[in-house]
Amino acid sequence: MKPALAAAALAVGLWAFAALSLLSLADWPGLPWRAESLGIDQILLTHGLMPRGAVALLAGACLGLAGALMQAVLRNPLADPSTLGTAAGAQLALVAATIFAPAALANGALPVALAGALAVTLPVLAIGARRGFAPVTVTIAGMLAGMLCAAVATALTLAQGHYLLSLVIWNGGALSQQDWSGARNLALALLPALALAALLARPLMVLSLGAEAARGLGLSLAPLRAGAILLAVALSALVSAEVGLVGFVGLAAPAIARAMGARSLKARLLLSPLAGALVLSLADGVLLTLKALGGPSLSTGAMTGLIGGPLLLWLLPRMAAQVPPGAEAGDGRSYRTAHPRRVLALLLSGVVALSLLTLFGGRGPEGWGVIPAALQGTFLPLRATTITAALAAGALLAGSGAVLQRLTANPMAAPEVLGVTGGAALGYAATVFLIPAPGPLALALGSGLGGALALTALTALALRADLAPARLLLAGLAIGAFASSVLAAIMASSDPRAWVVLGWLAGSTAQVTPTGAAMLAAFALIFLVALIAAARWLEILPLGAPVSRALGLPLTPLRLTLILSAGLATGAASLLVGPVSFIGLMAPQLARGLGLVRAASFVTGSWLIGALLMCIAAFGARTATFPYDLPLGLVATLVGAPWLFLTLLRSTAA
Amino acid sequence: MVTRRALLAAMAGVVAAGPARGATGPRIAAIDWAMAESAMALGHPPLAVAELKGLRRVAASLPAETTIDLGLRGAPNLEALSLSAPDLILSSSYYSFIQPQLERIAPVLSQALYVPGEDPLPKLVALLPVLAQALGDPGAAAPVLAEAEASFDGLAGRLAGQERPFLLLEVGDARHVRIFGGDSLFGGTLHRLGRANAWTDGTQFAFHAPVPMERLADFPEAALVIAGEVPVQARRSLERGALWNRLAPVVRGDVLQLPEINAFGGLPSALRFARELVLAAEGRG
Amino acid sequence: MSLFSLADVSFDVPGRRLIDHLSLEIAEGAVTALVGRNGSGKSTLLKLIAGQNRPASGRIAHAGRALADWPPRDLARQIAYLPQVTPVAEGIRLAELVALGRYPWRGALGRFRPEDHAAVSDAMQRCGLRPLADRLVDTLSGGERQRGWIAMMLAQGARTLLLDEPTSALDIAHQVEVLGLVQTMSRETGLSAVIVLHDVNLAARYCDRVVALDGGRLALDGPVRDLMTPEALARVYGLPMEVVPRSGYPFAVPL
Repeated sequence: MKPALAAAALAVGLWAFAALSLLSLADWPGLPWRAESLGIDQILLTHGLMPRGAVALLAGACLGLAGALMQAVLRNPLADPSTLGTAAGAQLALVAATIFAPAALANGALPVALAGALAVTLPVLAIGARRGFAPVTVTIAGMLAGMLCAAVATALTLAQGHYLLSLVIWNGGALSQQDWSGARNLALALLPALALAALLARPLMVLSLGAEAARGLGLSLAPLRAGAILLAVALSALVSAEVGLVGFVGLAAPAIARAMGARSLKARLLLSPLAGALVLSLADGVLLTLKALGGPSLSTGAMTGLIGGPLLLWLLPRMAAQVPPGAEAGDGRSYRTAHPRRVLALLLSGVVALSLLTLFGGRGPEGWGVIPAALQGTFLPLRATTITAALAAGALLAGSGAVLQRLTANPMAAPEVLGVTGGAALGYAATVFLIPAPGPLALALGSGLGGALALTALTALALRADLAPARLLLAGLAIGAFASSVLAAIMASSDPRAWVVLGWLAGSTAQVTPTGAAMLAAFALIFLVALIAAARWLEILPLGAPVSRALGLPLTPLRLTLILSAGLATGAASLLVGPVSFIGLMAPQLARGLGLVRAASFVTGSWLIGALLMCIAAFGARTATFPYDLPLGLVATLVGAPWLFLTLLRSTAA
Repeated sequence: MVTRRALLAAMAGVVAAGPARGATGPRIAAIDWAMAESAMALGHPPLAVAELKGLRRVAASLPAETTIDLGLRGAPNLEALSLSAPDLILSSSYYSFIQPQLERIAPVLSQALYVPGEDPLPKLVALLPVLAQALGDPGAAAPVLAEAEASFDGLAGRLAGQERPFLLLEVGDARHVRIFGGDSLFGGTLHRLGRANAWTDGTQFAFHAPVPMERLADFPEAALVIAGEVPVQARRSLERGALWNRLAPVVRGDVLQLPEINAFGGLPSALRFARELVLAAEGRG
Repeated sequence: MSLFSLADVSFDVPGRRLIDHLSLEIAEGAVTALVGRNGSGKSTLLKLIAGQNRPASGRIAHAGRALADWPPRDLARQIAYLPQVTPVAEGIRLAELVALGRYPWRGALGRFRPEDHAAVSDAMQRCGLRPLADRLVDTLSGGERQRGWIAMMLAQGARTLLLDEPTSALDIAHQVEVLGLVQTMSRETGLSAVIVLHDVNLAARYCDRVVALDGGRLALDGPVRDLMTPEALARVYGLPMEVVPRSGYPFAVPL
């Protein structure tokens, strides 16, 4: 309790420092505050700093309550509006509305934000419901949905051609106010929400015994879950609408409440809003003080995002006991084809046929058609470069995904989830900001180094926990989350160098040179050979550490080697397609769906499917909105996402 | 179904076509908008421009109807670019990361026009002779520059009555604005017109990151110049906002509203900004 | 030379000592039962001698050589270990699972030789799994699956089997089947086995020797008949029991 009081005192102190450096106490106006009779500095206090302090408290409380509700109803210490994709959904809706239907925002942003938040959270929870709300699966699904929304938002921002100022603000999470309307809206929502949460406390407590026990005690789960989630989503959407993206407060608040000694669920529901208010006030107070001292002005959302990643890592070891056993298992009995060679041959011919088709066919200013012979000399080298690079990138990502799924025996494992791409993005950004006018080689080195660093951190962290699959994935997600908040902060700075990073984030084949494409292809082939050579290992590893060890596998060096190679392959591929593609997640899932079960055919099949998907994506990216190239990774995701979603929705019951 | 022969003819037609004015000089394609505008000012309009749709919205003078769109500036469509068969590609330091790809298609003329902390206007002026030389029309720059200088001088004279410094901003929402510093096109133009920019702090570059509305209270003496439309969602809250309505320039009615102008344009956009600013100032006065 | 020799071995998890300064010899060529109450450390001990966990202190040797000095694959040719919960072998046929047992001999890249095929086929034969060879493992019954995993251990060609509660999920008929298989092989081929068992009567029926643990310390080490006295059972389980002879074997019944 003592540290909490100290933190509260500090938050108040920081705010007061900022307020007093604006206006000495003697000049503070008495009530009522009428704007007409106040001086400009007084207005800045009464209509600026004061409501800002209130908004920090209220928005923090809303997020804290939302996080506590989500964690209670999902029995998942990692649930919060940022890890379930809720905040990203609201964000995407706001960005899309700003661009396409600004009139929809004229009457306030809440309906738009709420629609977006629900549109993302509900499918994520539908997937979760099919898997018994297994925490890791739900978190991964949520964060993937969030990453997808962020990617679409990035593409929209990019397609705008210049920075829309309001987009930057939505993404920044800025708390500054110029009247009390924001504070009033938040307060009007928070009070009834608190009352509702108090009503939900006892049923949620029963639910904390587990779904079966709760049903046994006569609790009807569906309305309870729906009600609590709806409440949490509404709170989160409101905060998005009022102040923009403020990440991870909902994750931190319940953890802090627990650390403050809130053992019972009811105490957690009550303390979490307090903790959230404290966290956000503290973060904002630090920023206000920095500014009052003449320091740089940062956005509050970026600040809380920076805390989020490390926090997630800190929470990881504390959640082991709370995962229901068996909940994270695979799909149960799976189909196995009788003719894996035939399937592989079919896939290979598909890749070849599609490559040739897209090499010669396409869309130009005059519409669809085949390249005329007269222009082939100009076109074929360009297209061959693009197609080769896309095939190789898809194969590399899919191969990494296959390795990671075998390594962790978790069908949700994927390089996108391991934070490697996030690390590579940070490396790229660092290169852009630190080196004046960096060349392609410097950029490649920078992002490779970033990916390797993320991987090193990940491995160091996961080794401590004996590389338990769930920990590995969550650690990766935490690194990814950290990277994306740093990137968001960079974007919010509206520095023109952020443009370069944004362009890369979107992923484009336009930057590939023929040499680069050839090298990528060579790497992909070597990777495939290595994977087939490792097939016997990949056969045994999913049987778990005890069996692997008992059969004499050199477990630790083997795992490290596999993680490292998957990381390098991902880093190389994401140089081309940007950090988001989900090919590494989707291709292995598709390979399983085709009945490729044994290690050698599984990795080869994944590799081929990855190449195939990326070839389709490359074609779509350059033709769908010709001449405006779409981000390759985004198209790849859209190509495979519907299928992936159906797979995830399929019941696990064997 | 189009026959192969017909398609070939159509494609060849596209390649041979292009704006009529360009027929005398080299065929040029522009990735950067400032370069595109400068080439147009020299009477050599590019036959292909990146993000043509966006440029049409903000450009100082409209590109020809037959101009080919090359897609995004950051990721131009290389197929469309090579299809337009340029002799010269105009780019800038913004797009240096894609320069190797461009160079595979045609020679590239790339200039650093917007550099943090430096006034872009002299660079835009210096660009014209360089560009005219590259276009094989060295005599084209002098008359354009002379006319521009004369326009600037004339406009500066018309602003002479205006005493207050200008604060150049773009409204994001009811609580945030973006402010243009001395290293922006607008800041540089203001300087050329002999007027003071109220914002003397550094900028990250060209325009400052979102600035909270309350910072405007620090400039009671300035006239506010709003570049571009105020977003819908900000309009109503601005009308009612306690702070906005108590800002000294707002109370005085010292607020100028300009249309959306290419903030990273060439000399023509600078001239357009100067003209619009003077018109707005005179309209109010 | 004894199969395993433990000298002053301890093993901890945060906040608790599971094995407490244990010194012990386990005999070769016998079936040894590891018994004790829940939490007495019997599974932990099995994992330690299987090389799955490293002791916090003390020495464990197999065939006179410290466990840590054995290269992993060499050790896997000597010792086969079956965890308490067998993993889900998704999409694998029974014959393929059994063939995985040849990894210690052929490594990641080595080709299968005739003796490998012979070892696999012999292991399936001995476990009576020939007719099921092409079935997917996850479609087998619990007993068949357990025999499949034991067949994999046999294909491994190890002279020592370590089994962690191999009968806990099986009905009585399958319990008898699995333990009978181990006993027969030990008698016929001199195989050694260490089996963690809950049921003292099964231990008495199928095992030659017994090691009983209590709180991570040795409670009893000797021929299995030493366990089947009311005094020993009371010491190990803390429960008064009587021992009655039934069809030639001692049978323990709680009082």
